[in-house]
Amino acid sequence: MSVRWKRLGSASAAPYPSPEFFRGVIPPPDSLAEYAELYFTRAAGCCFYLPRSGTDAWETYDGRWRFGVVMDDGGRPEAGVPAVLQLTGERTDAPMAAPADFTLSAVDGGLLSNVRWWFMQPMANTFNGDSIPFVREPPPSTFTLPVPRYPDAQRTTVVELTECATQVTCRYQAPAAGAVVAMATLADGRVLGARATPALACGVAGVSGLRAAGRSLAAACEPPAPPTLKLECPSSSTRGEKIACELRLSDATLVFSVSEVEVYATSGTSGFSIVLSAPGPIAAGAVYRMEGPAVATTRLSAKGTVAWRGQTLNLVGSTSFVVKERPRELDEYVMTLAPKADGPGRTTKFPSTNRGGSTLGLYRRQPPLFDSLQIATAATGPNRGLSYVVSVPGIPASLINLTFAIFPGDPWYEAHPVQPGPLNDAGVLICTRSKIDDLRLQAERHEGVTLASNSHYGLDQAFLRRVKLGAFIGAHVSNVAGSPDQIRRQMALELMQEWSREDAYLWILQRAFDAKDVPAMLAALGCSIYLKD
Amino acid sequence: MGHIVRTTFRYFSIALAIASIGVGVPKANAQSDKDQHDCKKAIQIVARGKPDKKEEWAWATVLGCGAAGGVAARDAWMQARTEVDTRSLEELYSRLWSFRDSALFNAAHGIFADAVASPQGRVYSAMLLVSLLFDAQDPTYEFFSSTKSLDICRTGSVAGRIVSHGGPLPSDAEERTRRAAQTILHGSTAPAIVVSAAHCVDQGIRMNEWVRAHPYTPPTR
Repeated sequence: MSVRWKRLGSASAAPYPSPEFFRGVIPPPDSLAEYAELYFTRAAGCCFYLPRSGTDAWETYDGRWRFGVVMDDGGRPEAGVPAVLQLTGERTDAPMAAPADFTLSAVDGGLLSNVRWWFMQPMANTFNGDSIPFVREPPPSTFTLPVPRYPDAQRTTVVELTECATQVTCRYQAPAAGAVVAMATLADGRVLGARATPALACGVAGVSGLRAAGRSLAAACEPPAPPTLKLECPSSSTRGEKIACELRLSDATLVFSVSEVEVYATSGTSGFSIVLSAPGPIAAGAVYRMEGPAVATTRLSAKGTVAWRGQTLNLVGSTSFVVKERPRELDEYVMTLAPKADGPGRTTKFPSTNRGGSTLGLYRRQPPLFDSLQIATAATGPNRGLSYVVSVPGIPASLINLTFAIFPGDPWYEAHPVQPGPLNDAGVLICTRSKIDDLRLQAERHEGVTLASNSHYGLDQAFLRRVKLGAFIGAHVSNVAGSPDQIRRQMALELMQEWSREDAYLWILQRAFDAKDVPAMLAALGCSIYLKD
Repeated sequence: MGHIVRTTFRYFSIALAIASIGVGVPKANAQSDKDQHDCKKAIQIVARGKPDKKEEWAWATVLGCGAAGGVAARDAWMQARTEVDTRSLEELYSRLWSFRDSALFNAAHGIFADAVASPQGRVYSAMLLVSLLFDAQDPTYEFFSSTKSLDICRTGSVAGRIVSHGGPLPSDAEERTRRAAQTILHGSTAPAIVVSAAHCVDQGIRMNEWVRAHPYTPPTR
């Protein structure tokens, strides 16, 4: 509910408020050096006017009932009278989620009669200082002088809650921001009105004694808390699932403006600062919603301003949410295919000499086809602009080359003796074909044909299990801009870089394995595989 | 990294030789004389080209003949300049891919950059350059000739390769190779397969630079 204050001046002021009356500095609500009164939005059928003869009315709603002082939604005294009639219940500065009880009582415990209830929904919530047109009150009023009246469209809608009539407790669900108001006749015959206030029961509106009592009520009620920016997101989500964050003002009756929305998202070891487009002015009661796929654990902050009681307040709101990063299918990113025999490849064709180095076998590791990577980019929401991996290609089968020389039928194999005895020109016993067969089995084991753990393949697979590249891929997020294809290519390159980095480390392990296993393998033969030295 | 790798492989070759010989390592002088004789003979065979019944022995021997072997390797690789048969090129490549020698490097670099050389020969020269620069890299014609601009060049890695050494590579070998690749990439006249190879060379060098700057640290457990 919008609350606007105006200076009334002294009781001896001009008999009718002039348009100027609404201009100028609006004093804070607790400064009661002069009478201050809520200008209850620009809504009432007839705003207010000074008391007519025989009444003390300050504000009249449709001429049916009146009160001069009400509480605003923050529990602030708008003017002040001792609490004679009090109404307690839920806040109604936003639509209520469920019905709740509103209770009307006399402070002195006296009986109340002729109880009636209303819900007032303001059509406009701002007072911009414009002059209010002076018009004559329509019949049946007999008041002939023009009074300031708002146009119909700007007036409060007043709905009587007939179902609560005569009851001191009214169960009601406010459909919008507004005020629950009740009126009753006290035991002494006074007719008073009251407006619901949260928790604190600040009485409202005597017909008489209004001015005199003002200061005491002001002291009894706490000053209102300034409005705050509420930024709310679900606390956690899973990557790719939709997440919605909402930005609103605690006081749903005020227009506010958001000038900055910043995101700091983290995934794996990467962090991204993103500035989202700011929504600018947001209507009173409206919620700014940011909805899109969750990509990375995020801290979200927003800055803005609101005009509040004559000053501009800076607003800051922040929140965060956690995103579970890794798709389950990437838990173990290893080779699912056995290595593939690929002929002799570039092995030494004719290892008749050890001088140039005899490569009997090769283990060739294949990188995943990262170009066929599938990614998704958040086009909306708090993680807008962040891309993540949706699916990644498998690791191709490694290739194993073995020289033909160690297979029966090859001239080199056949050149070896069947029976032990011959020496090569270095005077060392030449291996028999049977020994070369043993060597072939060992070479197959060494490269990984048998899937042995003590093989290049076995080392590779164990390494993949250890480094958890899948976790890296699953956590990998990029904020690169561009077309979907450009983003995909860039992310593929980033994944290939990581693969290469780990590959370089694995290669050192493989080399150490060669340095240990090959000499042992050859030494175990007890002969020279070379026909000549 | 390259220096360390080379040193290790030299050690490994020696270790392999000792292990295979078992006992009775020949005297150095006698071995040296025999080596020189074998090298001279092997270089002549390689220079004559195939067919020769000792061709396989000759190729294997040449790789252990140091810089002299490099000259023979260079001459052999110059055949790639006009060769369009990828099977022949693959065979030649398979014999020389692990012979790190300056003369061979210069020949490959020259053909890769030579606009009038056969496209297939230029692609294989690009592969050879990468093989000579990086021990673990395993270029294939399939990917070096078909990778589109901006795509990942799928160069695998190889374990078990034994690199032999001739004359040391120029200290700026990597930079020269990169420049040659970029010249091709920035030009507009090279055949598509050569552009693809240049892309793979450029990407391979960049990738190795990145890996050197971001070495992997395994998880501790």
